[in-house]
Amino acid sequence: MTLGELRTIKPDKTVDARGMSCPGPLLEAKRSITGIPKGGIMEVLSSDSGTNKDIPQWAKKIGHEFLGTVEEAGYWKLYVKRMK
Amino acid sequence: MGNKMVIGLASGSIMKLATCSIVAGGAVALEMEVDIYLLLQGAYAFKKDVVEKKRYLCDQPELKEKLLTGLAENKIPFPYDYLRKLKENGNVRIHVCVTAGKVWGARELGDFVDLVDDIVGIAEYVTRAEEAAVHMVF
Repeated sequence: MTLGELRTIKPDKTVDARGMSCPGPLLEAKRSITGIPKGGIMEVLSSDSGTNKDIPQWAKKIGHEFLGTVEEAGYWKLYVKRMK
Repeated sequence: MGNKMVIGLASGSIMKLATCSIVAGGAVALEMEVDIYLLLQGAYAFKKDVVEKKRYLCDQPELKEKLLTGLAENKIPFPYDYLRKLKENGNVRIHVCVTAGKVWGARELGDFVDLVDDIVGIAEYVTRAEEAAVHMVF
């Protein structure tokens, strides 16, 4: 997805994990994705740079689709589509 | 095999406990089953009296306060709290080596904090480690 497309996403759920340290945001993502429907999109807000590597790897391993990252001031927005 | 992690925790140091809990957290996030085996000093760190009286060991005492401050400032739960949270949200089991327990005078499950699931023989640890995709020792 392009940055422009990512910025237009309206997520089904936003997980605000800012301030948490690795693997906190990942654990929050794991816990929260079950609360959205299959095909839905989860937005994870994280200020921990490790999350930028962890979320794509987690999504790949579990079988979800990682859509991309948007960098904001002091944190990142990561988008994951629930696939199963 | 592909989705199991086994950790042998041979240290009772709060430093190693923190490491163990953070690594286990990553494994839980990746939906791995985690079995933690408390070996010798690791078993000591989970004795009820040690935890209740906060007699935490630290292999680098000069860093103990910095560690505790750093964990709190970065919203990283204290290792015992972290492991409890992981047990609630994932498939994490904590086992005590029977011999380790005996060394510290702890022979019953009730001698340990309620995070501990059971007391096992060392062969179980070796067998699980052999079967696991990831085996780490701290």
